[in-house]
Amino acid sequence: MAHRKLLAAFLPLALVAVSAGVDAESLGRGGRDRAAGDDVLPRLPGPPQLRAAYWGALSLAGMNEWPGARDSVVELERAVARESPVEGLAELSRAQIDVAGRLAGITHDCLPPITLLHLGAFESYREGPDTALVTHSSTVAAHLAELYAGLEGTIAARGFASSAMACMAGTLGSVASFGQARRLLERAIRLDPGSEIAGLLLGALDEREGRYGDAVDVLRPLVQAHPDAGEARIRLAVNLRRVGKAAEARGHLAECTQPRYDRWVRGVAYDELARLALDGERWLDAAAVLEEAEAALGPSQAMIVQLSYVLDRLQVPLRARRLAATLPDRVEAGSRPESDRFRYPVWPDVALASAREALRQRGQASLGALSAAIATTSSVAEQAR
Amino acid sequence: MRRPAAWVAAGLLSAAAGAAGFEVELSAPPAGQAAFGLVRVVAAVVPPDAAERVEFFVDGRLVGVSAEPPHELVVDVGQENVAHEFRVVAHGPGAATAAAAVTTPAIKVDAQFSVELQQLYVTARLDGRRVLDLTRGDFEVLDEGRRQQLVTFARGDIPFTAVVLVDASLSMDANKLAIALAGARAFVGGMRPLDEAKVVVFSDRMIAATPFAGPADAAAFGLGEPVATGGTSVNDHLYLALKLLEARQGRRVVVLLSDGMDTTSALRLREVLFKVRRSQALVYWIRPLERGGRVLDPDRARRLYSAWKSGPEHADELDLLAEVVAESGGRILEGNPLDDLTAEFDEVLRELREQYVLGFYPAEARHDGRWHGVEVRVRRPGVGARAGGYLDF
Repeated sequence: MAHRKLLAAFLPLALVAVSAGVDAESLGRGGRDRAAGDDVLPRLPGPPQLRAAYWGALSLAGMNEWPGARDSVVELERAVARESPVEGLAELSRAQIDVAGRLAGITHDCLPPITLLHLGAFESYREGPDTALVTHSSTVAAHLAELYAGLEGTIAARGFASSAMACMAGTLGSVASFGQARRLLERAIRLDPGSEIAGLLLGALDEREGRYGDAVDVLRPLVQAHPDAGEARIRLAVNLRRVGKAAEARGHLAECTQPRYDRWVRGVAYDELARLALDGERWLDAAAVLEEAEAALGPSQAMIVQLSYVLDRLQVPLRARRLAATLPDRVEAGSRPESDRFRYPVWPDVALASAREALRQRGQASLGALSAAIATTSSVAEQAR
Repeated sequence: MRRPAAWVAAGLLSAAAGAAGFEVELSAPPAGQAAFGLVRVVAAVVPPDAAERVEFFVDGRLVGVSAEPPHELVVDVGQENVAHEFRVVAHGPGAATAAAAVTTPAIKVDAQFSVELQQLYVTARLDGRRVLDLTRGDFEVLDEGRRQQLVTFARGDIPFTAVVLVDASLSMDANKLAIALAGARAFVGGMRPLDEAKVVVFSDRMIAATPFAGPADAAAFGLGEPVATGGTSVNDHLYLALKLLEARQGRRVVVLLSDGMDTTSALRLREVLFKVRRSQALVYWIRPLERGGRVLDPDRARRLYSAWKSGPEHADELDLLAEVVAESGGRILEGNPLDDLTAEFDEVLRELREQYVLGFYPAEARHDGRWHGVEVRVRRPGVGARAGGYLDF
């Protein structure tokens, strides 16, 4: 009950502009309420109003009122950014990290949900995009994740921290903030060298920037560690082909045609097998691959175009023309809304969604720890009063 | 090891029966004999009245159905020297079927070549304006530097068949696409009665296509309301356009409206070059201006990486596409996709109507598959002419 009472007292503060330069009117609120829980604030670092508002948001999170908690953090950060995007946000970062650090002093396990709260805020800024707030929220979240990994020192904690950074990098990569994404991914891989999501994203980023050899270096150990990671394997194969390692590429491509992989992975694998044959002017091999592709996956435009080309090279032009003339009807009759070759460059969103869900569950599992840490801090405050 | 492509195996002969309770055989055409033109296909069902119907397939396409014996039909397989697969499927009561197939081979021709008439479509200009009063004697054609004798000469409005390729990838928003399609429709609407065109809207795949039609019929074929979406497969669609034009007689033209930045093609432009050089089609490329009034040039493309191509690869393909256009005898035009592109399409039409056609038999055909650059000179001061070349097959 103590933390609920404290929260009730602090909620108005959470909605009030909090840094020295922000007045209450700017947020459409009345004057600043004095709250009983203010007694706790002098014990927390940073300007009292910042701490109070942040404390209120954490309390909501501890009560599993997740959207409200995230909105409170977002509102607080936006208010500070409007008034003082450089010094104000820097001061807020220090306050947030210090408050979270104090709670972590009670139990390390309160840090995963706090980190997720900042990830949630980070996600809400990407549409803007609000560069200052994206940077602020990702900096705080990464710092808290690393703090947790350092305090816990376990493989699981390092994995959590790595995954949190990879998920933010995934978001940044999807809005073409490649530099920030790369820095986060490199930190993520230092924390957990076997991270599937971090390795996949870094490989995809290398590929997008034309660093095909680097992509191979990242993806090769990843595929060894995660043999069923279809997206990582197909990206490894494509980049191996690009750097001239055709034999190794062919092995991975053949594996990627297996039914256990996603359909688009299989489609790209057949395309690339045909590409290897075309590059070697092995027309019959190319035709056999493309026939097999059609039997396995049904017709695709890439397959029809390549096979028509192969028939031309085999000097069977009439048959090639007949095949070409089946477009677009033959493919429209299928069930592919997009081509596999268009799907390939899409940022690894499925893997990201899966990683985000794992993070969410991890955060959920530690809500009790956050709640307990807040209650303990409140109790100390009450005793002090 | 993968199995060999089934359709490549020549001389395949089969007769099937067994579980169906009846058999079917192909008694004509005979296996091992090349098939051209009208071919009689005969299926014998044993016992004769066991099948309710017999389906006839040629090269995988259903060409006829026979409901009662004798099960036979005559089909035109064309004059091309290629292998054909004849297949019959007899359907009995219930789901019982029996099938048979014969593959006829292509005739192998050794060391025997025909020398093809090479036709050059030439635009002559003086100070940027087309020159329309030249005669046969004004032209000189040099094949690899050697003067050639002109055997045909024509000028003016020679009918053509065109494929108009309209890029509808994500980089084209709804407004740009609407303007592009309006330009394509103006092109078709401005054709002469004997001209024909097919409009293809593409992204990473073919989104919509009209049949080949003249200006009178073309209006009847709608493209629906295509939405700009997906990647850009210029190479694949350029290849498909050339492939579809192959069957058309006379002058063949591709009009491509795209920034040219190919992101998703399965084929490389260098591979399509093989097709361009064999097709003798003219390729016109309408390049949309971007913000700042410039087209996407190779220098900028060099900094643009996509999933399937590096920046340098993009730049090289843009350069090569420009070469492809020049070699074909076509031209690059630039237009504002936010304003109106009908002027650019009109310009292509006007140029096509005002070309000279020069025909010659190469004096030194070697049939070595090598590209021959052809230079056309005009014996009139200040008049220049564009032409291309041909593959020596």
